[in-house]
Amino acid sequence: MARSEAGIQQTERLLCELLDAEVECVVVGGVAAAIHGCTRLTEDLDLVAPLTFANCERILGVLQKYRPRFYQTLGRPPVERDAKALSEFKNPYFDTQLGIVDVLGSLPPVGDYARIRSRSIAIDFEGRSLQLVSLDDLISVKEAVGRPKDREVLIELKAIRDRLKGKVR
Amino acid sequence: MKPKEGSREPPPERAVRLIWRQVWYSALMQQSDDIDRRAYFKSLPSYGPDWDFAIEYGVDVMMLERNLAFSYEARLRNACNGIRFMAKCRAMNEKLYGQV
Repeated sequence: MARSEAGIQQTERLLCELLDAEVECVVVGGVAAAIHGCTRLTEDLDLVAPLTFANCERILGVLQKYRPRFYQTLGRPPVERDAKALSEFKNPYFDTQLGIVDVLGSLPPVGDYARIRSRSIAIDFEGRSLQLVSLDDLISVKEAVGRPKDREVLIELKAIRDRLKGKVR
Repeated sequence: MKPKEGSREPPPERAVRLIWRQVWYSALMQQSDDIDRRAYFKSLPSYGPDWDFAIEYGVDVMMLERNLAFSYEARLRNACNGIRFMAKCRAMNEKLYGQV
């Protein structure tokens, strides 16, 4: 499991702050799997977001308060770039005092933010509207990635899909 | 008695058999110390091939049912509580064995 600088991932607070700052994003990855009903625990927060200048500015506006560092760069250097430089990234991966945030510009094989957003579902979270990747899209992504560690999550997600159809055989 | 045409209800005999099996297995599981509960899960209604495969793989489908009974928001909160608990366990581990 990934570990943030602070030690404890504060996903709820991260999400609240990002939503309050009107960051455009869709929750994907392990957190999305948990919201869909999976039993596996995951720590880092994976988001698909348009990496436009405006959205990167909003993301940085939130994360700058929590000493962001580039999580997967050797030595974890502090994030000192501006929104323009950040918008040239494909997958900025931050380690902050609130935890780890992985921002993806697109999610193969489903597609880019616009496509994922159009198929996502809005859920209520602490009085805010949170966009959650659809169950079918999450299954497609996990199938495409094909890592052994995703296998159990994939099996659970597919079982959940069967259960939600609700037809007893 | 035949079910109505187009009805999704299982025939009564099958429904009775399913209920009986569930009651029997539930009683059995209360007494059982077997950690492999696949036989019990298989006695429950099946929702499709992926559901059955998950049971065979060893997924605790009762846990999935439990999660699905919560709202989306509650599931997220539960997951975050789990992460906090894991962090506490890790801190205890570090106390025991020192930081690696």
